[in-house]
Amino acid sequence: MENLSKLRHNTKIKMILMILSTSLPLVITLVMSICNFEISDNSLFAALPFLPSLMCVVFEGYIILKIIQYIRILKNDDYAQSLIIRRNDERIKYITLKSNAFVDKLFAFILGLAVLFTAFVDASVFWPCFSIFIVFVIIHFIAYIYYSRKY
Amino acid sequence: MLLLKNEVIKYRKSVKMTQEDLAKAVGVTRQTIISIEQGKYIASLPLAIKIAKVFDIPVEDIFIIEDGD
Repeated sequence: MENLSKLRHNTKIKMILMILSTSLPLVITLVMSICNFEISDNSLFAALPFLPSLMCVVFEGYIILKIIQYIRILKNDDYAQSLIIRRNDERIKYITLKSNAFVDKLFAFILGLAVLFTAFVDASVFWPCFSIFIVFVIIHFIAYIYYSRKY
Repeated sequence: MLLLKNEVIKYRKSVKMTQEDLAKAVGVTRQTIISIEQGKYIASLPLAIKIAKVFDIPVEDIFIIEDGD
C-alpha cells in the first residue's frame, strides 16, 4: 500500500513531467514545420480546422488541473491521506475491475458485430475492423495466460 | 447456498463509533463501510480481520456464514 512519503515523491516527479508536457503542443508544431508535414485534404483536421486548437486547449487544461492537484497533494496532508485511502480502497478496486471486465466483453461483442456487418458492406472498412478484432483477441489471450500463471 | 452476514453495524454502535471513524481506522472509504453494513459488498479477508481488530472481537463473531434456502 502506498504511503505518504512515496506519494509525495511520485507526485514531485509527475509534476515535473506535467510542467514539461505543457510545451508538447509547441514542440509538435515545431517538428511538423521543420519536417514540412502537410495535413492531408482527406484528414479530419482539414474538415474541422478548429480541431487542433481545441485539442491543445483541452490538453493544456488537463495538465493545469493535474498540476493543481499535485500542488494540493504536496501542501495538504489530509487531502494526500484521503487520496491514498481512495486509491487503495478494495471496494473501488473491485468496482473498477467489474466495470472494466463488462466494457471489455461489450467492446468485443460490438467489434464482432462490426466485423460481420462490414464484411457484407465494404471490404476497405472490414480489414481495419478485423485487424483490430484480431489484435484485441491476441492481447486478451496473452493477458489471460499471464495472469493464470501469476495467480 | 451459503450466505454471509455481518454484525459490523451492531459492534460499531456499541463502541459509539461513526462510519467515518471506522473507515479511517481500517484504511477504507466511508462508502465501503456503508456497503459492508448494508450487505452489498463482502469485505476481503484482510479487511475483515482489520475490522475485527478494531473491535477486539474474533472475526467469526462479526462475519457469519449461514446456510441459505
